[in-house]
Amino acid sequence: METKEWAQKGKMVSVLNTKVFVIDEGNSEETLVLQHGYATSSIDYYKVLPELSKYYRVVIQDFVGFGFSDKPSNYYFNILQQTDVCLELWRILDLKNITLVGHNYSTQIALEVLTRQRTKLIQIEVKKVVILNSIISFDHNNLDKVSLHPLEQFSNKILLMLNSFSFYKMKIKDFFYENNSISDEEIKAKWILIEHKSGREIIDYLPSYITESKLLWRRWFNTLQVNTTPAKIISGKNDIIFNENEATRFSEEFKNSTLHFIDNCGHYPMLEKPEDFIQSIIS
Amino acid sequence: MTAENWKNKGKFVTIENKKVFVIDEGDKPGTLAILHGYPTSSYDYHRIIPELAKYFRIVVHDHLGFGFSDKPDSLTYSLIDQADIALQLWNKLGLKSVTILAHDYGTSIAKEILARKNHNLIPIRINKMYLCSSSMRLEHLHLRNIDKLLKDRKLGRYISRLTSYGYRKIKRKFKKDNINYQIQKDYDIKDMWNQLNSTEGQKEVHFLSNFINERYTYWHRWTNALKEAKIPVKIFWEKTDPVAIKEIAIVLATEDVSKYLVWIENVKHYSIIETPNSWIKLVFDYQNIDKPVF
Repeated sequence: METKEWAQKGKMVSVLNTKVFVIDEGNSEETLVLQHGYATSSIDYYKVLPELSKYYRVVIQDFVGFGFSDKPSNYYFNILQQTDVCLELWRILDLKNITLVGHNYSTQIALEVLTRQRTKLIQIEVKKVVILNSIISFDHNNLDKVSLHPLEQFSNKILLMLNSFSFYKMKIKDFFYENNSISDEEIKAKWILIEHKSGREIIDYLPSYITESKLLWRRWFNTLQVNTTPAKIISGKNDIIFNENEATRFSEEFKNSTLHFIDNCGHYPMLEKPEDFIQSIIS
Repeated sequence: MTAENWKNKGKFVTIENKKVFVIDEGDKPGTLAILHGYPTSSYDYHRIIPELAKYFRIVVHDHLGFGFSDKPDSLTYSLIDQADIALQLWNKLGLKSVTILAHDYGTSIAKEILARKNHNLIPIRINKMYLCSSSMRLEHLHLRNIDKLLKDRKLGRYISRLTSYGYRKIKRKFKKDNINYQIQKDYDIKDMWNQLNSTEGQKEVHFLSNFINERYTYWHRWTNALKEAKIPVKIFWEKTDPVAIKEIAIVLATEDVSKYLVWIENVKHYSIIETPNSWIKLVFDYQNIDKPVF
């Protein structure tokens, strides 16, 4: 998929003084909101969009700071802001019966939405949550543990990757089970979207993001413990960031959730195993 | 007013399975919701509430972890959670429109509420907002060494035990810092201390101090909330406040963040207790009520 082609599919929507890129396809009563991960963009979902839009109204957005959306250069756009933007966008688009799919970075956004829902402070209702290869960690509680925090590991890797295109091209393949699962064309498209609006200069805010995750961890953990929204955790079995044990642990703590593994699959199930991904969403 | 009397005046409302202590007084149509400061409780306001209740319905609650409210181990007392608690409480009490008055720690909660209001996420109408001694410019904030240590998540838990201040030491400190004779009356300090000390409050004090990190993280969110505010926000500052120093206020004024900046003269961080008269007058002036106070 060329980035130009992808851009034509969507539109720019003005939400809370920022421009957000949104793709809105299909006309079912049921809505599927697909959210992308850190240092990538909506284009991750290009393989699954045509099939899923037969069953759902599919809404894919680029978060502020990613893809075609605005990239504010002078400050860290935090999770709470991202959540506020999402909620406002859904209100503008008048979405109903939302199934929320969060990948990687957007796990935290999904948890924040669930928390607001738990406290009954928002009008919008999320019917179902799907968490894809998250980067949630359970070591936030264990302050005595010296080992490097999983998020920090991820952060170091990403920062190294984003140094140059050749580095990126080399390292992005580590996230897949089979190195040839991602084509050069796809890597190029992802890179272009990172570079767009000089996004690479502002992308190094992972340390702030880690701090924020630590600060709000208890808040989200409380939500996991009393969750009533049906949830599904889908995880590639060979993910280098979020391994099998972490995923199992996550589903144990996440009340009302089911766990679904995809075999021979890395961090990006929607790119590597699109059929399995679609099956696990629809079923 | 002893702590016990204060407790009898209020009631407990259950929110998310935790008990929150609320004082709900007065039957006037306008509501004034108060968010108290750190690390005290709603008791701070006991001197001004009877007077304010003549003009407003007053709703003031103890934040979780403070005063008579529950102090659960499992909560790290995020300011974001405190904002949720306040909003849920006001919902439960059936408030449709409020004027918010916040002090210190409470101003951060107020600013989070303001941010969500700007983003169309709160159904309650907010008429006005009064912020007192708000520490928005952290680079100007004077953190003492002990505060810095408390702020640290790993060290905090030990430090808070080591510095078991004790009632006497706090009393001496208050006397040294405050020239005002009223504050030296024993019961004020003793009650505050007892409240903090109850339900293992001391154990939790370092978790409460975590809010300083949140102020760093959400600095832009909250400063922008003030800039984008569609409702009048007024900021009050105490000139000789040792914690939130006046330079912060000056920087704020030059940045055109606040629409009004009013000095409260010659008082310290706790002007509501030290000089309730002048303090209340200041708020009332802005309400355009010409009645003499006290």
